[in-house]
Amino acid sequence: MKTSEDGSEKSSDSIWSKIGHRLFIFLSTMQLGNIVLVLLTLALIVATVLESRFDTPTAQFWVYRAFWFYIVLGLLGINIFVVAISRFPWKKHHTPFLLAHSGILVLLFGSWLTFQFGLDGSMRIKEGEVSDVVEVNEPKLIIYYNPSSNTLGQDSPAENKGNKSAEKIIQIPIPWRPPGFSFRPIQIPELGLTVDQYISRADSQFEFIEADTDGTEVKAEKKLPAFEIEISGGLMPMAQKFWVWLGSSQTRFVQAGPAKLFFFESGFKESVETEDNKLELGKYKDTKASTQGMFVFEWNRAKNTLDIWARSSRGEESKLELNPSQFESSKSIAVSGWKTEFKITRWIENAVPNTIYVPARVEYGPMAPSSAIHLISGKGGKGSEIWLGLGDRATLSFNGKDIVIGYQPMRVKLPFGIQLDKFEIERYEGTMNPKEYRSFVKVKDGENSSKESLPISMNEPLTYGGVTFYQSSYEEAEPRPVVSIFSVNKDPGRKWKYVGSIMLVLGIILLFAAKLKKNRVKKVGSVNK
Amino acid sequence: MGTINRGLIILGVLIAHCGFTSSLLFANEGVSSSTPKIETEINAQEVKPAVSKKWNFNSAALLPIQNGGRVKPLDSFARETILFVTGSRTFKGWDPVEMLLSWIAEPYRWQGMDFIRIDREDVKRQIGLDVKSKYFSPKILFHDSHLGQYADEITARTQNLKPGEKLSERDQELKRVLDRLMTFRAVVSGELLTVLPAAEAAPDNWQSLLTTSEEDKILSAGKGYQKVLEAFHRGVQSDFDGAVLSLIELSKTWGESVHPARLKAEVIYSRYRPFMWAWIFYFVAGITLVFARFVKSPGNLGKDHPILVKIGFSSAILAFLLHSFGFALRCYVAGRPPVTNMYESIVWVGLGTMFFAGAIYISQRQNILITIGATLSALCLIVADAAPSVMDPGLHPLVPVLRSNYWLTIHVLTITLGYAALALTLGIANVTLFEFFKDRAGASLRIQNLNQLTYRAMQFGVVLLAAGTILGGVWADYSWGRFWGWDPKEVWALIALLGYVAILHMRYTNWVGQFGFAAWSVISFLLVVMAWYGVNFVLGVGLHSYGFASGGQGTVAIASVIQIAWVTLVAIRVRSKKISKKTV
Repeated sequence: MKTSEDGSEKSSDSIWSKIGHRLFIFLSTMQLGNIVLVLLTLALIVATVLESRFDTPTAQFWVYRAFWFYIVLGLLGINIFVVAISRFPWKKHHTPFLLAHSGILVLLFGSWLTFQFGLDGSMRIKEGEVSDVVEVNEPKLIIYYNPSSNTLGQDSPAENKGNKSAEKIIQIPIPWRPPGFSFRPIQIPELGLTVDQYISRADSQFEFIEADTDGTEVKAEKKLPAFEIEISGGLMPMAQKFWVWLGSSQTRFVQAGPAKLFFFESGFKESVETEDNKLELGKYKDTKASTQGMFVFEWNRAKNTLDIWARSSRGEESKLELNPSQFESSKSIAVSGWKTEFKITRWIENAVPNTIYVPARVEYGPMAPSSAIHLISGKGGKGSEIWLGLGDRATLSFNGKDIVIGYQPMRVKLPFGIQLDKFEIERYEGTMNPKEYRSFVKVKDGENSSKESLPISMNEPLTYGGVTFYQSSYEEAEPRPVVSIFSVNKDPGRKWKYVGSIMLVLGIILLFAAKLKKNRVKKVGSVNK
Repeated sequence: MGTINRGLIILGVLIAHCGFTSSLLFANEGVSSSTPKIETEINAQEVKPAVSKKWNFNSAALLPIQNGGRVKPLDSFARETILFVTGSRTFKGWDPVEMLLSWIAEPYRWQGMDFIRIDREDVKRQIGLDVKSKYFSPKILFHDSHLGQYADEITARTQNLKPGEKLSERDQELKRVLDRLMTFRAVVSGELLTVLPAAEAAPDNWQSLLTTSEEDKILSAGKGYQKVLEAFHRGVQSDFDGAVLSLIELSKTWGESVHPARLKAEVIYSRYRPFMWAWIFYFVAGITLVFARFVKSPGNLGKDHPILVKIGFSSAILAFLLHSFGFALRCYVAGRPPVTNMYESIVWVGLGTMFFAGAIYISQRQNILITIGATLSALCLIVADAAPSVMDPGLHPLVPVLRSNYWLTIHVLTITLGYAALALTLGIANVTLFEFFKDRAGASLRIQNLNQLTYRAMQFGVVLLAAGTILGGVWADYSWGRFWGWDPKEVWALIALLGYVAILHMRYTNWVGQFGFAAWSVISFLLVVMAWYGVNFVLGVGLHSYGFASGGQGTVAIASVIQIAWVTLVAIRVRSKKISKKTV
């Protein structure tokens, strides 16, 4: 090797070959190896501290999935490779050295294969159900739209095979980043959409907004009046705000601290949806049986007024009639004989519900919520906006066309399904502590479907079609069905990793054995002297 | 306060009506041998382990009880209960079994006895107790303290804890005191004594003395217990032993979970404490061998004293045998290799250290190896013995992922054996540093020699650590479906391995000299400590959560700082020597 190296240097005096030679020498030095080892060690220490102080995603973001970390690993690989090459031509006594070091290379290669082509996700199946969807913990913005048609299958466009030919799907990975880390807006030029905000840990909040009549909008079924009411005094130490909306029974009947709020439209019978609500309203109005205070709001569309009828917990009643213009002027309205004061702070006649996300109170750890993104349409001008939390999906009306956008973990569809027949838990005698849990599943794959139930337990995975299913967890429910959770895995690098491991360990053993032999020879030599 | 008061009333009623047992079963049977005299006797005299001076409870220890997910001897249950309630292994010289039986047989007396432990002064002050006392009676805690006031609050606070949240230290102690009191109550009421065989309807659950089952099997067992307790109360040993033996004979028909030989092994294990004897002998061996170095040997100058060496070696061998015996016994009782928690792994590492010391001795014939090995093993066992609250020595059922897993066993045994070899390098390297520090005549030869031994032990350590880490990957692949997931435990095993690989490479390239090698061998062991102890006790995150615990952080931190300070001190000395030599 050395002679050829020398020869090549003589034959071409170019700077590049000199640099190349220097680089080769540098890459083959043990100094570099030692530096890389120390760097790697420090990086790993930092990562585990980050993971302990914050959480796993934070450690992954800054170290394990960071670009520079791959460079360090790559450098280690290159160093080992060049060192091995530089010992060429190899002799017999090089075998342990080569075995150990190429073992690491094989291991690294196997890991790369896994990283590139592997699948590592999870699957939840309810007892008695079939699933073929593997969820991978990689958040994506998924947009389904149809350039030629105005409508889309609304529930599940991906499975809707009817007009699939013309349907387009845009998938944009949005990897998690820690709170406070800058987010560069993502443009989707085809649709004029922009992801302009990202919240790593987002708490959801519910509010109502004016329904838009032009341009992009969130598709909402109902546009009905909503108002925000601030209640103070009485038993409540601080003023509290509540949204009340005519659109659904949950938002029309609101428990506001110690009082109940009822909102309905006069003469519009359908607005009182369920029998329960009717009964409850009747009970309060007629029998005065409850000890709870209550406000009843009756919206009269024709007169454009809001009749307010209040009753305190002691049974005192009072009435009031307002029209929306008075809401703003009257600072607060005290109901006579009623210590509590209320004030209508916002009134929206054509309101639609809207979820917004704000940075969460809990930013790190297992209790921290998942991320959320904010999308806007239109290029800087007046447009519409929407918040999507991880797992949310919404239908937008976009220049008269429907598009479905979802912010979801990546979902991989397997070419076959798994049916969970039964889930069993065995416990330690006399306790509720689980000893073992086991799922019984059938593979559903056309003609190859399994006829009998196959067990999957903690240390007993099931492999089918190159995909391995491991029992990972479960959610108990009473009454059943139980949900069994599997981790689903496909690892093309597995064989390489095993081979590399064996080479590495064998190499180390041989290295030390060779040293031992050398020492013996030395000793014997010295004795002879 | 409500619950405690009510509980006390029930207790009082039971005591009044049932005489010596508060079991409903016995009340149903109509065997209430209540003696009115007892009531006047209450608190009149202190309960003393009087009968025990002539009695032994070796057979009563063997009675089976289902507790903590398995059937164990009454002895183990009594030990755990007494340790928990009184905070001491043998409270005032009581045999745990006797104390337990005495609780059941004479609860009215124990009401006034001071035996429930409270450690924290702020807690004592909080509930209005004498700060100077260590033990308090149930009566005082129930009536003359504010404990009841806090009971509901603590329970509510415990229930409202979010995952990962902990009670404050003071609240933990308060809760512990409550739990101690409740444990006493539950033993006395019979509720905790699941000593009767399972009913047909629920074959997994043994019945407590409170059972209302009418099945023959249970009734006859209940009668057996009644006889035992009556004999205990009367204080006639022959009756007592007869009753116990017939009950044990009867228990053999209660199904597979009663395994007489295992019960016996467990009683031997906890009564004779082989690990305690092992560390005593290791300690003797260590001390004797150190002395052997300094006492001039007659005739043969420069060599260790031959008689002392012989004593040291036989003591070390005896200790090793006891240690192995205890380990084997524990394997047999648990039905698995015991390396699933900190206590078990530290015992195993101690065994491994002595093993490697012996193995290298066989080829190198250097007494220092045995000295270091015995000292380290003694240290391991002392640490394991000294902190039962941090490292729980109890035998507990395993979480599902750890059960019957071939790869897990291999992986853990290999990696901890690696720790053992590396602990030996730590010991030898520290002696090397000592040589550097003293810098006597002929030191350089000794240092070279010691470094050779360190290197040899490190070779074992690195091979085992590498293999163990990889086997961990194999296990993870087998159980979770991924070979490597950057889990903190995996990562720290890798960090420790990288640390030692770095030393070996630096030694190979002469980046470090004799001193550097010894110094880095010591420092690198801190990485092992982090991988072994730190991930579970300090970081507390990741998939190895079944091993997470707390306690001892301060001690480990101080020990690490002392190690670093020692290495620094020697480094400064070595450097100043070099400089002074140069200037001269």
